[in-house]
This record gives sequence, C-alpha cells and structure tokens, in this order.
Amino acid sequence: MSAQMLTFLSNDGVEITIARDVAERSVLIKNMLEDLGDTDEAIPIPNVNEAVLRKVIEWCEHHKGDPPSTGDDDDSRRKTTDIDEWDQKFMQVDQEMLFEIILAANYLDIKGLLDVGCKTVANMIKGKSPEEIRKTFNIQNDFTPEEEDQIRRENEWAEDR
Amino acid sequence: MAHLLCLPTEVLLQIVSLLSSNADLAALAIQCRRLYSITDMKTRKRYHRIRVTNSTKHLGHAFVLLVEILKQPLLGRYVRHIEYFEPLARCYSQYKPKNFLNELDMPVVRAAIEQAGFRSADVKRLVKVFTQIFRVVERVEKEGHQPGRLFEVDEPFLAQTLTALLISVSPDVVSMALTQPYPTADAMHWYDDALETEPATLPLYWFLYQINNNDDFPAPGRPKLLTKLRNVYMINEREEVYWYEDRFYYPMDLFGFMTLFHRLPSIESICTDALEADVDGRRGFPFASSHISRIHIHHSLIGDLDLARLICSCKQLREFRYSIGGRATGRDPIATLNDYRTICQALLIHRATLEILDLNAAEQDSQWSAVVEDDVDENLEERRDQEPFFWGDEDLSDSEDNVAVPAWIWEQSGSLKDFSALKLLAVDINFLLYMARGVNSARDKGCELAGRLPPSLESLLIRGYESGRNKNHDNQVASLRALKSDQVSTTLRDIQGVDQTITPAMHVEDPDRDRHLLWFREEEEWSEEDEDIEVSE
Repeated sequence: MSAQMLTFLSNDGVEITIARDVAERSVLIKNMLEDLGDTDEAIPIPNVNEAVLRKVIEWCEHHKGDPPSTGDDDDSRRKTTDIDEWDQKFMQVDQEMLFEIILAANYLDIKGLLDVGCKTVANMIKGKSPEEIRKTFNIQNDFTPEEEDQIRRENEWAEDR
Repeated sequence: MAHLLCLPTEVLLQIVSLLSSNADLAALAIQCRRLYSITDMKTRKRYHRIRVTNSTKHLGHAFVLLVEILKQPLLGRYVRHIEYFEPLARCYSQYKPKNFLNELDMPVVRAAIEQAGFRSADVKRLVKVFTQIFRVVERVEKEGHQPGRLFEVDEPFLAQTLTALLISVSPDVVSMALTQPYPTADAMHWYDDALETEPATLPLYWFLYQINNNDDFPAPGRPKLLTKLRNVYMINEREEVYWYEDRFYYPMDLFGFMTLFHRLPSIESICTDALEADVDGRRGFPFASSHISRIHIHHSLIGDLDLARLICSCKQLREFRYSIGGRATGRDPIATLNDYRTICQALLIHRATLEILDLNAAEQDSQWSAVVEDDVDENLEERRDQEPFFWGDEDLSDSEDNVAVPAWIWEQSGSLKDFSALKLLAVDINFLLYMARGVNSARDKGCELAGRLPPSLESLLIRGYESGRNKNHDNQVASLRALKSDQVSTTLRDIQGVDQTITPAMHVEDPDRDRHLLWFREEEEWSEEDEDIEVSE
C-alpha cells in the first residue's frame, strides 16, 4: 500500500510534508512515484524554493477534488477572462511570485495551475498599449529605432476586430 | 529575478494563444526580438481575414489557405474574419448541375468535410465540389490572372462549400460579412419554386443553420463552431445587370438570415444597410430568444411592426441604431418610425439595458407636417393611440415563423426616464417628446422634458427641431437649455440640435438626378499582397 503522506525538499533546504493525493496533482511527481515506488525519504524539488512550493501546494490542496483535465479541445470554448474567483485571489501576488509559480507549474507539470497563470498574464496584457506593456513587465527594447518603425508599419493591419 | 521573458517559449506561446485581439498581439510584437518571433505577425496577417467569392482568383486563394490550415491546424486560429460574397442573382439563375470530372484522391479534404459535420450522404458530393475548386486553382495557375478581370464560376457550391469548411477549421473567427446564402421569394423578384432546394444542396446555408440551431452539431462531445463570433454584417447587394439595382432599398429575408446566427454564444451585433423588410419571409422569433444585443441597420426601410418584432426578439438589447435614406423607394414607402406607441412599448422591454438609441427618419406623412398647428403633437398622438397596433395584420401568431409581439407589452407603463442605462439618445423631436410623456399610467401630458431625461444620459441629439415653429417644442427645449445652464445634471455633457436644426434622414426622391445622395457599401481594402496565390511547400 502506498504511503499517504510524502515529504518534499525545496531548493532552499526546507522539508514540507503533504498528502499524496495533493502531491499527485503534479504529473511529474505522479510519474516519479510510479517509477520509484514508495519512499520514506524527502523528495528534492530542485527548481522551486520554499515560498513558491508552499504557494503551489496551497493551490493543489484547494483543487485536489477537481476532475482530471481533459483534452485541449475544450480550452477553446472557455474565455480567457474566465478565472474562478478563488484562483483570481490566489494569483494576486507580485510579478516575481507570479512568474515563479508559472515556472514551477510548468516544471512540475500541473496543467490547471499553468493555465490559470497564463490566463492571468494574458489578462495583464489585454487592452494595453505597447508602452504600457513595456512598463508593466519591464521589457528591454532591443530593436533599433528603424526596426521599430518598420514593425509598426508591418502591423498596421492589426486593428482590433 | 523572475520576469516575463524568463518563461520558456512553450509557455509564452500558450499566453499568446489566449490573446484573441490582434491589436494586443501587435503590441507584444514590438517589445523585443523574442516576442516578435513568438507572436508571428507575418503569418497571422496572411490568415487573419479570408474572403470567398465566385471569382476564380478568390476561390483559388481561399482554397490554398484552407489546405494549408488542414495540414497545420494551428493556423486556423489566426483566422478572425470570413467574408462570403455571392450575390444571389448570378449564382442561382445560371445554376446547372455539371458532370463532375473524375474524383481526385484528396483524403485530407474528405476528412475535413467529414470532420466539419456534413452528413455522410453529402460527403461524396462535396468532395466532388472540391475537385472542381482544385481544377479552378490549377487553371488559374496555368493561365495566370488577367489584370482587372476576375473569372467567374457559375457554380454556387464552390464558394459555399469552401466558406463552410473554412468556418469549420477557424475556431477564433470573431466577425463575418456575407450575402444571404439562400434564395427567398422576397429577396429575388424572379424567385421560382424550383429553387426551393434541399438545404443540403446549399452547403453554407445548411451548415450555418445547424451550427446555430442544432445543439448536437457537429456531433455530441465535439467542439462547437463559431463560438467566438461576435459581429455579423449582412451584405445586401444585387448584381447590377438586373433592373432591380442600386437605386432602391433591397428586400432581404431579415429574420430568416438572422436564424443563421441569433443563438450563437458570443454573438453581439448584426449590421446591414439598404435593407427593405416588409411582411414576406420569416417574421420574427419567439420573444427574447435572440442573443443579439446590438443592432445597426442603416439606409434601410423597415415597417414599424417589424422594428418592434426585432426589438422584442432580443433577450437584452443594448444598442439600437436605425436610419432611412441613401436609397429610393420603388413604390409607396412603408411607414417607418410612424407609430410611436409600438416602438416605445417595444423599447420599454429593454429599459434596464438599452445604452444607445439612435433612430433617424423624417416624418413620412409630409401632408401632415405641412399643416403644423400648435397642438399637432397631441392630435397626432391621439390619432396614434386610437390606431390598431396591427393594422389588420392577420394571423400573426398561428405559426412559429410568424411570431407576434407579445400582447403584454402594451400594458407596460413607463417613460423616457425609466431607461436607466441609456447614455446616448438621438431621435426626432416629436418622438423624444412622446417618449418623455410616457405611456399608460406613467403618461403625463404636461411633463417637462428636462425632468424626464434618463438618469445616466450623456449625449442627446434632437432631430427636426426648428426654433419658432412650434410653441410647445420651444418651451420644452427651453427647459433643456435651463438644465444645461443650471448644471443640475451631472452626466449630460452634450446636447445637439437645439441651436441648429438637424434635419432627419429622408429617402432619395429622384435617384437619377441625385445620384450623389445614394449610399454604396464601401468595400474593405483587400491588397493584392493579401490575396496572392502562393502555394507553400
């Protein structure tokens, strides 16, 4: 019989113990457990620090009862802005944490969390001017002024429709 | 420190796929080289709008794009606008079934037709249609285009099938422009019953009808189509070769056309021009059954009861714009915006949601307005109140196609003041005062216009007010002026038509003399580069 509790080790050396069904929201961990079998030792998560790991676990706890995600097809039916209320609140963090969560969700292969993260970023982009986007995300411009001009002309067709 | 650009490319691609507005994507593209390449604007430009007509050039181009999408389905997400233009007269009058050439081996196309949801009995036929399109493309490539000339194909299936298949592979389409894809008696003066074909012989009509009306289409559990379609422009044009040409309003099966879109989940607006809607064809939908919330019908002529049907068919109406003008009437004009009571009672249904109301038509009965007396409004109104609402319009409720305006709307009470969401109002002075006085128990003949304005009104445009012509109008307008100078209202920023008369729209009386007054559709620009046929490897 598989153990009900598992211990993880964050990359800054903190051990966190959680229920197995919560941890299995991560496809990476689920597959790893299937391959390795039961273990009593702490499982290292080398890419994620304690603060982010706790945040990710909080999300997995809340969503542990969710049905497993189906294919990609039904994604197109949902609207980008549709993020459930709890998730919206959950994602009200500073930008650094937001991107750390997305990176962790991607690494740990937690599709639902990755989706919510991407939607949150997409909503931050929507309706903004290029200048506003540059400011919001602090993006370095690596075009020459001539290139920038040319791109603006190239994309004149892209008015909203 | 974690930053947007720390995300791996596949995650950035996922974020980009969630942005449906090309303006948002263009704003990202200009940030830096990495985002420029991830947003892939050049490919998006090639696919973002596609038009299908019965000219060989457009058929060929659209066909090439479709085949590219079939090979690489992600490209279908770049398509945002599809136009189908095939004026009925030509495409059906010369229609003769042809002996199709031997079927080419086109397994990809066959799969796409099956996938799109067509019935198995139709698949074989439509594959043949595709063989035809394929040959057209071949011919164009061999012979090249003659500049300034488009080859036309007398085969209605081609453009219809191609448009249907493009829709089936383009999940993110937000807008469409199209001509009525089926013949009806009121849209074709030479209509004959032989044209009453099985729906499946009109692939686009059948396809759109299924998407909008059959909940299990294309198949239970399969993704629905056109779920993001917001705006539809109904192109109302005829071939110029017919006498029934561009000087007049054209009849169109308005409600029948709308049954191809009115229940789609994201549908917002329908727009058209030069429309004449009379009593033929389908007459409306069940009350509040349409998801359409914005209606723009300009340069058109619609009877009052049909306007009321249109208004009543909407679940929630946010915007209603209607104007006459730009065309001549070929016969006795239909009375439009004449029966204030009918329009007002229908609009009251939407008193909580209506944000924009713009009605523009001159008083039709010119003899009436010629004998203007001080009390003309009251007389007119009493005359209107006594008029039967249906003008003897019989049998309105006995079939599903002829849905009457529900009887209870006549019992509603209310006035202009009750339109709590109304921000922009542009109407004739007489209609404005009628709305202000209100109907049924809210009616107050002595009310002051300024005291009955909608609470959130920001902009008011009055048509047809001429200072000194009518004492009552002058008094009412004076109350508006006082309002403006007292600055009582906090929201109303803009009043027009008070100091300078704004003339309401009128029909073009003599279209041959006054050709400059006629309205013509401005075709969107489609650059050559947009439509070059390049078969990519």
